[in-house]
Amino acid sequence: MPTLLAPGYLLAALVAAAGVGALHLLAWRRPTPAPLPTARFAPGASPRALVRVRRLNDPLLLALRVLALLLAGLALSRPARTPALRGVARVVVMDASRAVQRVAEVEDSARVSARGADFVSRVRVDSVARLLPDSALGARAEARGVLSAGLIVAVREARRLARTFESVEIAVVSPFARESWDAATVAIRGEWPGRVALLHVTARDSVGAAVARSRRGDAVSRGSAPDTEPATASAAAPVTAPVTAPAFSRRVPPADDPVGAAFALAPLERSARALRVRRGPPTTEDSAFASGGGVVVAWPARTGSENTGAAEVLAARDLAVSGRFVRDALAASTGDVMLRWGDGTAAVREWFTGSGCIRSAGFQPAEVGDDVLRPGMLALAAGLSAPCGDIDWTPVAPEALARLAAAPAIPATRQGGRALPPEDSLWLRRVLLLLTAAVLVVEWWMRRRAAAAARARSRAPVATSREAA
Amino acid sequence: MSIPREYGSILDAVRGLTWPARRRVGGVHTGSHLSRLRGRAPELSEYRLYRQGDDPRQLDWKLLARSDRAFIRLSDDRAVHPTWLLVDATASMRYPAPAHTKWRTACALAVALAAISQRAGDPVGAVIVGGHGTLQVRARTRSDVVPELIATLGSVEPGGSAPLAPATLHIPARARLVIVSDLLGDEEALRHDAAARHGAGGDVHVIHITSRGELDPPGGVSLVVDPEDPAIERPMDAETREVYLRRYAEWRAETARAWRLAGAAYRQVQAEDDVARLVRGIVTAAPGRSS
Repeated sequence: MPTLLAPGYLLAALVAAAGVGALHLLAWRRPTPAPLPTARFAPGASPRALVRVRRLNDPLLLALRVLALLLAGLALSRPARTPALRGVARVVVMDASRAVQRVAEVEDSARVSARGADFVSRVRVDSVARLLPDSALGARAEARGVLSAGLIVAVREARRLARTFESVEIAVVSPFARESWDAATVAIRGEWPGRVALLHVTARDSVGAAVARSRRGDAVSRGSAPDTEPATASAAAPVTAPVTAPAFSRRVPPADDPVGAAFALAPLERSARALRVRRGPPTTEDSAFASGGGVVVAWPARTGSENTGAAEVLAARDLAVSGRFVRDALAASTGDVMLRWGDGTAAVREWFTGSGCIRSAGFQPAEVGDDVLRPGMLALAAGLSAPCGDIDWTPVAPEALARLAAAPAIPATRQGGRALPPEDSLWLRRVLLLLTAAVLVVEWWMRRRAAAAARARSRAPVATSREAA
Repeated sequence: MSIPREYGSILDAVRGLTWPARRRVGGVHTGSHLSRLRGRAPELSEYRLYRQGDDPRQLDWKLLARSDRAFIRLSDDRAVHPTWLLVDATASMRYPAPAHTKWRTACALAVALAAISQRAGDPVGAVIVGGHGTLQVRARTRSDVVPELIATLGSVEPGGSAPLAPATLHIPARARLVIVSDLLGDEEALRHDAAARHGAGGDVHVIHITSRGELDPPGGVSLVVDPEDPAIERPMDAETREVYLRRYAEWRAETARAWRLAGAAYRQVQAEDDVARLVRGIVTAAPGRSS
């Protein structure tokens, strides 16, 4: 459907055309000659006078000028064409992260959601999101899913499809695990004015996954064991048989230790069931504990001096803590970075061993002051005590899912692809400008011819007067 | 030869008017104008003592007998004054259309003055200059000269831009020359000729004919064209009209002054005025009337 992206120019051209028409009602005319014997006493001036005429003078020239103005105005108003919209397209976001129990279930649900659509685009989401060339989802990735990334790709694809299809929907097939959810998910969904359908699939069981990893001997699933792993950890692992971590075990430093105080006060409801927080590098026993499914958090040993620390910022994926800390060497140089300093260097690393993991902190909290008791430090302690890999496959709250499914409060005219701008027709603008130039050339030629005719007419009365004389 | 009706009223109106010469005339034929010659006219003017060489026939013998002194009888002679009319029939006189009032007024003035002169016994002649060339009515005292003049003027259609000055060669230097023109042609050459005539004892009258349309052109926007020179075409609007009026008034004043300095009797008339009144003004303003 043709439309104009800048109709103001066409309006201006119409106004200018009206002005030109008004000017054609005024004309410089040569007044009717009248004999006056004493004409020589009148001052010499151009023998023309501006007179108002009843009929449009030079209608052909006027038509050419108006045509040129309208063509130029139309070209400048950026004519565009809105393609005819028909059919239904669907963008299916398929979660293939570690939170998914069975990939086949995801594929089945995606197939169901795509039923009835004229065109289907599939987006695979694990730690990244990408468009799939076909319906094959591929294997599940042992990585945390990022639904926000999948929604970004899906919205972009939906906007592209909205230029062609009358109706475009987004469907998300996922277990909607907490770990795949972040604060931006609902906001990104708000960028799509259409409907978003949510299809639930079965989430994995956290304990079962850990056991399975242990049985496969998958020592490192996300990060590899650090090369500089202390002898107590890497050397002891082959000789120390993995032990099954107790059902519930929690050992933290005493409360007179700043670290111990933080862990004592931290909300540990969602922490690992087997947790050991120690001062100093992890020992063989700690490695065995971790191999059995426990979580070991190793802090640098206390120096004995009352350090005051320096103001620093620590940042994790969904956590930022400011306080006074003393930087210290990390026990490992490899493994996943869980926490970073404000300058981007690693502050806490995590590596898997057996079915558990060891986390090494490269800093000490200030011995002086109450920084360790503040909410930020307590949240940091809670995060470090979380299950290995930060696995949280529990589904997000129904309220959050309802916000994801709800249509944003935007005008109905922006539903689907109708809100998208039409395509600027560049070739049409060029054609219009060329036509304008052609009309102007013709107008110039006509004007020259009219001027020559006027000159000829102006000579005619003189000859007549001479003859009369 | 009958008189056309259009001239009847003016001829009636000027009946009885005289038009004395502005200065003593040099003619030898007896007429109505004071002559430079003093001779044997029957009307006694004065006595003068006889001087050797005087004509003895002019002696007043009775006075000599009474007073025993010889006196000569002197008297003022009167002579005729040939009158020539130079009528401008160029295109500028054909204005305003369609009545051509300037030309008609010029004709009426010429006929009226010719009639006055002819009744006074003066020979009357005319030269008419226009696009047709130069027409001449020979100077005569016969009564049919006026109808001939009327017929000649009636045959003329004003046009062209011929100069008037060459036509004065046909006119005697001491004759009374009456120029009836709008002076928009070779006015300067004509004036120089008039000055020469005045120096030679001639009498020149200039009747400058203007028109209301020239003195007060109609308002609005128009393009005015000089009928004698179509190359002169000027726009006439409110702005240029003011300049035109000023320039034309200045030219008329300068022309009147120049003609009077040249010794001519200058009179500006408006074509739309009553011709009889104009004629009365012309003939009664002559200085020679008092003598």
